[in-house]
Amino acid sequence: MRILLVNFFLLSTLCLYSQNFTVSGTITDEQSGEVLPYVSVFIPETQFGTTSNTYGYFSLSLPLDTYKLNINCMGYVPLVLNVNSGTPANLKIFLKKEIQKTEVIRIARKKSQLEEIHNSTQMSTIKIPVKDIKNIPTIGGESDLIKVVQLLPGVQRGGEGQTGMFVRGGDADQNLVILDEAVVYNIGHLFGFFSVFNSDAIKELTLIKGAFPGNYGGRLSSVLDIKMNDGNMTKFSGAGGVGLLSSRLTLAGPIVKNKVSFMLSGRRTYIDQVFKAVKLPLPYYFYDLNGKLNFVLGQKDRLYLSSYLGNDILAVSDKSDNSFGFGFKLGNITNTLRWNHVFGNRLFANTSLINTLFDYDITGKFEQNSLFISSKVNDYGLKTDFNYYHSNAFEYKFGAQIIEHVFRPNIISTSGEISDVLKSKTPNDLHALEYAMYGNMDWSLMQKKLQITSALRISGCMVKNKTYIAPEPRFSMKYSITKNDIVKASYARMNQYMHLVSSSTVALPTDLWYPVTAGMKPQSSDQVAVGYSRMLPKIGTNISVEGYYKWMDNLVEYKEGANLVLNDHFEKELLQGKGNAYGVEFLVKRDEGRISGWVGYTLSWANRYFPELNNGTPYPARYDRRHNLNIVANVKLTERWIFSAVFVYSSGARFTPQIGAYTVPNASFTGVEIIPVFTSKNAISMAATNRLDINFVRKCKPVKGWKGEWHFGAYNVYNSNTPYRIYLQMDEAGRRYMQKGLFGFIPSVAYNFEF
Amino acid sequence: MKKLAFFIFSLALLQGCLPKDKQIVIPAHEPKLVVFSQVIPNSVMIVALAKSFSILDSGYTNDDSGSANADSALLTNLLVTDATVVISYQGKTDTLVNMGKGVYVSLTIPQIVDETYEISVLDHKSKLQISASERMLSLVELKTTSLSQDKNGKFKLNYSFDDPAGSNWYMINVYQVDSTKMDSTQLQVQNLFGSGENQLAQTLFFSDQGFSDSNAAGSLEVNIDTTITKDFIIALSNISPQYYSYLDKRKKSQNLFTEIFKEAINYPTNVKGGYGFFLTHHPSIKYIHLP
Repeated sequence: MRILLVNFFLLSTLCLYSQNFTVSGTITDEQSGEVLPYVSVFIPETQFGTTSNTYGYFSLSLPLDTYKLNINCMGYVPLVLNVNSGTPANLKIFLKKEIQKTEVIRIARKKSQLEEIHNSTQMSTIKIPVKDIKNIPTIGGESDLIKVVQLLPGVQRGGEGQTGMFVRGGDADQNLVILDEAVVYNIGHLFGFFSVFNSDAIKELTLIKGAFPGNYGGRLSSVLDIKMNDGNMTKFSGAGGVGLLSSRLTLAGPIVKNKVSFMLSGRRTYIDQVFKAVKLPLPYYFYDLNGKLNFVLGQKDRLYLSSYLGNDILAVSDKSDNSFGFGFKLGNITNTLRWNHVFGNRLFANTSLINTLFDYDITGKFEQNSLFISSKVNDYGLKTDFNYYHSNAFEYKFGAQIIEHVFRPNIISTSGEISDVLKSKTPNDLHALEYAMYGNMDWSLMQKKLQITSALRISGCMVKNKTYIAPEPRFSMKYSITKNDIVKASYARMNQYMHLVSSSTVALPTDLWYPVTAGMKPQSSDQVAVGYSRMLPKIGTNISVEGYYKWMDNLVEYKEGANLVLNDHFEKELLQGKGNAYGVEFLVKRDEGRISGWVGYTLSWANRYFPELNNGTPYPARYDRRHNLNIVANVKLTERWIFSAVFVYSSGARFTPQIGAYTVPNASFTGVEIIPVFTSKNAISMAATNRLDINFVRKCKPVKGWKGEWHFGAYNVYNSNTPYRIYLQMDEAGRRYMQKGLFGFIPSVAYNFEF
Repeated sequence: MKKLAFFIFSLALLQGCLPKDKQIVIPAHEPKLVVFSQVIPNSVMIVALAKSFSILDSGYTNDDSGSANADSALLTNLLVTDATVVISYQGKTDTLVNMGKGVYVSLTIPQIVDETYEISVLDHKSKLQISASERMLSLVELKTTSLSQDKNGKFKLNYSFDDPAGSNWYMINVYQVDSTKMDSTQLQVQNLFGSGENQLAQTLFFSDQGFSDSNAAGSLEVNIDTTITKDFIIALSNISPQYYSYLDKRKKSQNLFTEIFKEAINYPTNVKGGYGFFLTHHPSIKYIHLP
């Protein structure tokens, strides 16, 4: 550590003595006024360059001279600016959207996002612009961010068709999913069949599976950072879609031109209304609302207020005499107030106030009996992040965050006879104060051939009778063998202070989040990864291979037969143990040109060890799927027709079947009990699964600014068995375990529009 | 009519699009010997022997409620009727007498507290073998027992006994007794198993962690039916932690989620190469007659 600090001081000092000037600014879309993250800003034929941060801000230190500053972003017309020491600070740079016909010509001289990731020290990271997601076929024609993330290497999906994610051998609760910096606890609607993210309201998503930067923490396996659209500063616009399952509408526009903009987006299913039309009751629906206000307060200040509200609602009742009723409401609310400020022309600050609520209510009524069960998690957070652009060779990031988690589990209110069995109770709130501070340093050596990012995050959590604090060192580096051949390596430690308490191997929306306690220690992981990346700029394609090994400690499992539903003493039913995961991921990705998409293949292993389970021997994790192949292709057939296809192959998930039984006499020797015999834990794999989905998009001719497109798709084209349930089949021929496929061939049609 | 047509159309569309179910290949279950023993103080050691079976065998069903059933023909086939059962203790060996129907007994094995008993079994038919050993724990005498009823009409069993030093685990069996067939004044523990007229009402188990001193006393809720009988026998046994864990898992296996999702529970055993328990605990009993 001391050597690191000394090196850092010496190098910083050397840089300070040179004669430099700084060019800085914010890059925005000329049409909408949205800030553009990850835009490449560089001086050709030199080593000077950087990228805009998440908020579109960049700062670049240059030796005294005059330069041609190139600003390149995928989908935008490249811009060249003359800069010198007289250039004013905090430039406002607008990029024009590229007209499609010129796209092919410009490919050769543009840096794509693939190149940016290829050239950065960041590994195990994939960025996907939402515009690339919209054509990818999914169930019912609904574009679904999480389903697309599940197609990336290193990500295993949970149950077929569901939104559960298992990243690099981790568990479902080890993914930090943040929407405009607010944690989203429940990412699925309809028991996980649809994600809560309305793609029209989303700008971009970034998945990080390892080499975590210092500003992220709190989960072991991945970070899924989702950014909402900012709104349109210059003109009123809209987008939407009508599908078989739901419709959506997004409106955006200026409230005060170039000063204040808004974005409002809504989505609702109408399965209930379709059934109602034919007088069949299906009283279930879900909806999402996203809203954002974007204020430009001046040259150096910008304020954002973003919110999300989503609910699943079921309400069954006997309308004839009102004697029976059952229902639930389950949903998330997130609110983020974000302030961007630039100090001078080198220090950028982002400060956010965050509130998240996840709750569910269950209600029931039968004659004179009534039941109400409620649980919630409420977060109040404050975080601040700084980027300091010290020089062309150094960039520092530092910041801190504090989150108060309030858990209110299992509030029960009953009346009637049921109250004899299920007593009314209002348990005390559980409080956990999670905090972290970090420093992150990026530096370039050997004329940017060697780039290193080192970070130290100190995280902790205060709960009743216990305070945890833990260092989380992170390190990543890249070495350019040639301009297009790069090797990378990383190490990251993560700690997790919350866990999802699930009552069975089946994930339910009613599974509860709980904090660590004095007895339940934080989960932790150490991950090392090495990788090789080759850029093929002529065809805009990146080929990468990464190997990783992850050690996990204090993982949480429940005891065999534990009942955690409405159990306030759940802690004694939980176990803590270890795990490891390792594998190799291959990815060939192309973001531009007539044919784009990716081919991802993962070969992986994931194991668990809990002394109290499986007779104290290690066992494979439930989603230890050996092979996982995903092919995603978007083919531009003509100017108006696009064809997309997804092919998925995956080894089966694991389970523990009963294979035998034996009888023992009861304690009075007057009868026998049958005791089941199971295989060792997760010993059996379901059959491998494969599936092909397709989608055709026909773009209609724009009419007075109205752009429409028809989507004709099909899920599971060749009707393959994609397992979601196992059952024991009994007939005259004997008994056998069978796996039931979820959905077969499902055609879909949808109409999407923009204006 | 419109409703019916929509329903039939939807069903037909779904059915037409449902992929065929696939079989999952499961390794065959290798049968093992199953041991379960019972000691009746100063009387007899009983060992019941059977074989485990594959649930894919005929004769076994798993109905919709999730409860398992096995038909009597299957159960009869599972009994191990031709085995040599040897129990060793203090350097001596005792070969148990085959009583038929998979039951082997010894009338001569003494109960020696803290002695480790070893059992070895060879089934001549299947050639399967098992062995197990178990330390005989001291007999813990019940001092007082009574049944009381709370205001909701629920029965509670009140008990007290002297808890020996160290960590201990206990099992209480509550039997409903047909008093017309049992002379309560001549109550002997062997009658519990001899007459076959008793009915096990409930098995309760607990550890001594909740007792502050050696004078253990407490009360437990019991489910008994006083319309059948007013006579009850309470049997307290000092059991091993492993058997306690087995009982605990048996109880938990009855929880709703475990039943619905067929959660796997692997039961502990002290039998090497087989299943079940070689038990040497022995009960002390009390008789309760409700007015």
